[in-house]
Amino acid sequence: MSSFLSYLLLTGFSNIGQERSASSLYHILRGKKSAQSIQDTHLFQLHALFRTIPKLSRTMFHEGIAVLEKNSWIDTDEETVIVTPAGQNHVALMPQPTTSGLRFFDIQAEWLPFWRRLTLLVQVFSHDQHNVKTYYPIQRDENTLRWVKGFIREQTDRTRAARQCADELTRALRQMDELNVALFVEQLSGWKQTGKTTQQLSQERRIDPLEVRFRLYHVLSELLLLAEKERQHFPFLANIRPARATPLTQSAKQTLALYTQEIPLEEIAKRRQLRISTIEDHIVEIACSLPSFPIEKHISTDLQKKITHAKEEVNSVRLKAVKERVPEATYFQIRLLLSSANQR
Amino acid sequence: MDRLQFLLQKHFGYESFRKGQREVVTAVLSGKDTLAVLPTGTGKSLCYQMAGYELAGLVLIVSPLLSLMQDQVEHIKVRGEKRVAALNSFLTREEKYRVLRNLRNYKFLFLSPEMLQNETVLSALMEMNVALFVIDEAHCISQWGKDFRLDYKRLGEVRQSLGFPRTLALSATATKQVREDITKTLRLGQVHEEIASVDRPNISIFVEEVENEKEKAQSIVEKIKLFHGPGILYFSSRRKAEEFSEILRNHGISKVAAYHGAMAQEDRILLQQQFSHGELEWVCATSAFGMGIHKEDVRLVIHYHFPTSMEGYLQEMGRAGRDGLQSVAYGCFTKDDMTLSMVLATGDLPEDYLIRSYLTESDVSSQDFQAKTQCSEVTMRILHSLREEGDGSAHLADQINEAVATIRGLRQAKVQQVKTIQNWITSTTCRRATLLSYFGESLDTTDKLKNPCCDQCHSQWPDLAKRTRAANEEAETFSWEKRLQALFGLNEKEKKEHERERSSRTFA
Repeated sequence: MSSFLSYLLLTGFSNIGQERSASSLYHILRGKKSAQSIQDTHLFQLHALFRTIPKLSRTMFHEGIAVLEKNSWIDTDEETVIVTPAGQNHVALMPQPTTSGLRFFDIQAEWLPFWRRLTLLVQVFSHDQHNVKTYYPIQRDENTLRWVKGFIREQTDRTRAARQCADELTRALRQMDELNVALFVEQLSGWKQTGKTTQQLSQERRIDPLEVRFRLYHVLSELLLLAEKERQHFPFLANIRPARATPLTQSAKQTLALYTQEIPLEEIAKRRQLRISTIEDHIVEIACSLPSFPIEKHISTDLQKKITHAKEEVNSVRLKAVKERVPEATYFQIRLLLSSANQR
Repeated sequence: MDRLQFLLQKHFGYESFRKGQREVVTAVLSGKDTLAVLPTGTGKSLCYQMAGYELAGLVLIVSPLLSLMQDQVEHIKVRGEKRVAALNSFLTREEKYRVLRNLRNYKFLFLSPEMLQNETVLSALMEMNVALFVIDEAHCISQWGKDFRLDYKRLGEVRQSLGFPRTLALSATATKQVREDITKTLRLGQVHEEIASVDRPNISIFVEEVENEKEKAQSIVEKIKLFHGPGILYFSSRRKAEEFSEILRNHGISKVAAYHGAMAQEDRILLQQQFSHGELEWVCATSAFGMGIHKEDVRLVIHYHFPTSMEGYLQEMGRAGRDGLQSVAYGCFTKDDMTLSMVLATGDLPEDYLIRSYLTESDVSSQDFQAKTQCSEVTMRILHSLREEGDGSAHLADQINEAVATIRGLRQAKVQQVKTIQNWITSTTCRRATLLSYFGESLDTTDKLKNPCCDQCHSQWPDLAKRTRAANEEAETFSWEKRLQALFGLNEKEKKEHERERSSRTFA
């Protein structure tokens, strides 16, 4: 049984509390693209967990929960899960990596193409630098191969590009957790040096394979952040960063198209033949993924303050508790503000 | 230098042909339909590539396994030929159309057999000038071959649709019966057969009976502690392959990994490359490992479990010693293995009642059916082929009877194959002679004198390099910065060494 899974489950259940059923965490870990899972991710601050175990099976999930129960780290109450003090203690005592700072949700669509491009480019540069012309590519995905081929063709000075890549990686990695970096570098391939698999790293260093993956996600998420926020210092990384796709559900995208034409929500619901509550779900989803969303159009600054204040007072994201303190706010407004709060 | 010799150097950079290659290319170029049975590792793919360069038009290659196909495409690209593509279910719709739109820009097109059942694909190909139609792993056509594929049976019709193009059927292992099936199914007319000997005189064969699993593990660990790799260990189950790699690690053998089909593609590529580059010395694998491994210096192939046919055995043991140097094929068996391999060989064949219900409930999707009956992927693939096979025939009852008969025949063939290899394993006559006679050959005794033959000839193990202590030591650990510098050739010391190596090569 994976001890790291225990850690992830405890982290997730602590944040969710009794407000959702246990299976909501299952959908978040698998990265289900439903309005509910996406909203929950924002509401309960589970950006580090979303879609981190896309292959998680029901069986694995339930076995994981059984382990937590056996250790008295959680109590189960019908559908919901409560983390016991012992469980909270256990999470606190777990060594690195914490999930804090990892916004995997934001890079869910980018990390894989980025990882494939980066590893293939490192392999190409490495062989270039050692004057070796024939070798088998480490990636086989057609899109990646085509993209890298195009990128390489654009480089007038390949040695310079290689140096730039090495330099940026070195500078970026120096700022990161030592073990994360060591594992990351061991997964890179090049001349006379093939990358290790997750399994191999896990065996060599006696680390749970899930944790090895998580540490890779940390590095990729930090690299992507630098590529986005510090373009001028990391131009190479910025150039190979895939375009960010808005992580919206198809239906929310359609709502957004109408919303930008300034059509009122009721009218959108009528046109799309959907319930108003569904459209409101979409708006919450949109507000969560677009930092520029004009939230004040739906909640006055005054009301925003009241809701935020109430949330701090009740020390919970439980909508009902907040609503009791701010009766003039609608559930939609409370949800909108609390879910998207960490975007701003 | 003649024309073929010139092409060999120009496109492939080789000085001389391997056994059989020149003959096959010559036969194809003279316009004959050709059936070539050449052992694995002798460069079968070179035959159609080379013939392709001398013929105007497209070379179509039908290949049964996706991983194999991808590997062949890569192999050709690495050589410098870019006009190559593959059409298979790995591609997205959009990618498939991209390939189909650009057919004219390709010289070599690899296809899975099911792609040829697709109307769009077939009609696009009918517009093209197909210079050469190649069927790789052609033994899949025959139920007497080891990997019978129902979708291979229809290649004869495809060939007809394409106007009977010039055809080259390739296989590493095909008995006389299988060869006859190939010719008949593909509707080849006058066929030129090029059959090379399956004998590998530089591989000594040893088989040992042990009492139980524990003894088996001991025997194998002993060998691995004694000899250098590189080596491959074959297992019939994924779990056992993983367990055994752990056992070896616990015995201080560090450069070992498990490999099987359930692993992610990225991991499989990494492991293949580690093995090719010598970073891994031993691989504990299922039969999924081997295709796409271009490694000449494998010294030992060890069978923890034997495969379920002589053809399978020949293929796996043949991955040893491609460099012609002395190598060993070693295997262990217990009495229980015999029952196990019978189950393995026939376990995926659908029972009559499954065939009946799948064909009757033709509106049930294959996913739903699999969920309901819990049958394996392979079983589903067979059932699906049976359903498609029967499409268009008027009477359901006839269709079912025919399908049931097909599977019964197949089961009978599989049972026969298992019996044959089990007889070989337990036999007390020369292993090599028996192996060869199964493929219709007799043993050339002059070769036999030069090399240790087999346990039944009371041969001693050949002098493989013995393991030294250094080989057991863990690899040095570098800091990540050093590792990164080494990758980019920024490590000064290593760089100088590399320069020296290069200049010495230039002056040599």
